[in-house]
Amino acid sequence: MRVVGIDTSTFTGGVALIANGQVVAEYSAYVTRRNSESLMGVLDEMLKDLGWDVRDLQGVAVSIGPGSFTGTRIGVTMAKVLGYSLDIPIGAVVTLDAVAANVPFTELPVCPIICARRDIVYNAVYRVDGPCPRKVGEYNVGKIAEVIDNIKRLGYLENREHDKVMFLGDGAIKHKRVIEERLHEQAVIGPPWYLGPRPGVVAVMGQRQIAAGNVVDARDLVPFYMGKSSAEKAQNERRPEERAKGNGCRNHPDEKGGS
Amino acid sequence: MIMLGIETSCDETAVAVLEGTGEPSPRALKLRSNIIASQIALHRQFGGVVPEVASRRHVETIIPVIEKALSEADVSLSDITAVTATHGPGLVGAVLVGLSAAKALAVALSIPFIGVNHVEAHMYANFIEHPGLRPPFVCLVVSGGHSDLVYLKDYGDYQVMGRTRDDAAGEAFDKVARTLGLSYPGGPAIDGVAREGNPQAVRFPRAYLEKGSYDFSFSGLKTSVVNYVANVEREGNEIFVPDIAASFQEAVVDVLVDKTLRAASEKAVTTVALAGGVAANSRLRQEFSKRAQRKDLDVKYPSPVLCTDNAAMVACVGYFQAVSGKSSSLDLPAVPNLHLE
Ligand SMILES: [Zn+2]
Repeated sequence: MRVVGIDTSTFTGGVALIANGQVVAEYSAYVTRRNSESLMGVLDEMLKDLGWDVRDLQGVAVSIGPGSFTGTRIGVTMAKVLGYSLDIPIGAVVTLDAVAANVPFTELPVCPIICARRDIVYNAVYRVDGPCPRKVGEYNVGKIAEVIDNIKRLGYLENREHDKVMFLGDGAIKHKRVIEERLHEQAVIGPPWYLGPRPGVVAVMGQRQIAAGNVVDARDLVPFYMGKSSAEKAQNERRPEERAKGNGCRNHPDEKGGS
Repeated sequence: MIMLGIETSCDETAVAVLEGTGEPSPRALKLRSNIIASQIALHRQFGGVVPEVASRRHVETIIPVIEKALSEADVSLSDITAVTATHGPGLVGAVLVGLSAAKALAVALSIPFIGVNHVEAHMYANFIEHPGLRPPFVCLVVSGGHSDLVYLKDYGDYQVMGRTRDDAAGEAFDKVARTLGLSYPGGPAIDGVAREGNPQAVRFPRAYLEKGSYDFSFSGLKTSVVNYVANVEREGNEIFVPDIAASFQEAVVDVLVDKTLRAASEKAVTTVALAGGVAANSRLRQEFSKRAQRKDLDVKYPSPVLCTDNAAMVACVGYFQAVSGKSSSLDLPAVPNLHLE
């Protein structure tokens, strides 16, 4: 099965092609929005390099956030249009899951942290005791201090001598000082080549979703924003009756997470 | 040739299918479908377009709108010759949705991609409905986002003679409408209520700027409407909305018509064209037609659905580029403040 993986949800962005579960081409760069915009050109080149016809693709995998709203929409839109126009299934991958999957196996609980705006981050905690990360608890959005409180509440930092947590993601770099001040040697910042989502990982995880029959219709695919736009928030504060109707983002991915 | 156009630069998710014979002439064009999913109702609760809300809605709507445009045109994806989308000016997050969709379509279908300037597209809306229209002509593009006076020498060859130095004309309409307690969007609201008002009731200032300038300025006019309303209310009197709306509209129309007709005579053209959302304003059309007739000038304007944002106009620019052998790189970025060359 030939699958294209797209990630534009954070500070890195890229595209990958996999065949039979193996990454055969991968482009990833520390990007600005400008670079995400050119990913369809990169894909076109990669297909040529491999001698593949675009119609050889049998699936599309995409990271759907949480992350940059504008950035994620670029990849999600490309994925939904590829899925629709090639009539192939789409596997949606939560960006936090993809970052956790960078670590193939570890005894330590893994906590990817992705920067939202200002001092707000997205995060979740995983056990990586097999080839796929298992999410423990919920996806969270909040201040960096709350991340550490959440992990403590899950009971992973009880023993100051032995309990450690591995932090990944751009948030782990940005908030390194705060994390280390709070946790000292209990905090392990992941190796730099593991910190961001990789399009190859997204492709493999998306393929697994597709194989499991967990596909998203191109019409329904939207980013996993984990939060309303600030205007919607302001509106809901003004009109509490609106909030009762529940107009949050649709199509939240399975809370159990992917892989 | 069958062009698919995509437009998402502001609050409309729009897709159109435009067919052409391959000749570089408006006579070659046949509009097969023109689908517009308007977000006006969504943004009305905020009193204006909220960029993040608009971008989210574009992502949700883009595929259904593409499907509807294809089915109404009675074509399938494999019939499309080239795909074209707005790459600016506009709200960057919103532009990016349509632009990303167009690039993905181009790759999936192995067809050329053409990125289009939205202001240029507004001008080209005139070609869709006026097969006899030929450059050169002078075109006034007025909308919520832009006010440009353009000399269109030939297809793809422009001289921008003037543009707004502050607010766009449509922006002034929206702000004045808010001051008068009228609904969003302000253009149609003022146009409607002004019909019951006296355009000579209040003499609002006309900003002609320095002698010979073709630039516009609407922020002073907007401020004087706001001050006028505040003064009347401070004196304990009630404002008569239709008179103020009509007088404001008259001040805008006067300047737009004067400058456009002066530009037409400088360039010695026989045709002036209107474009953009404000070109749907009934008073503007009326004044243009009346005063242009006196000067023996032909006035063209698109029907209202092609004045406001739509994708048919985007497909139209794409068509003329495609027939002259042009296409864009898949690297083409979204440019929020893109100007006409
Ligand atoms: Zn426009």
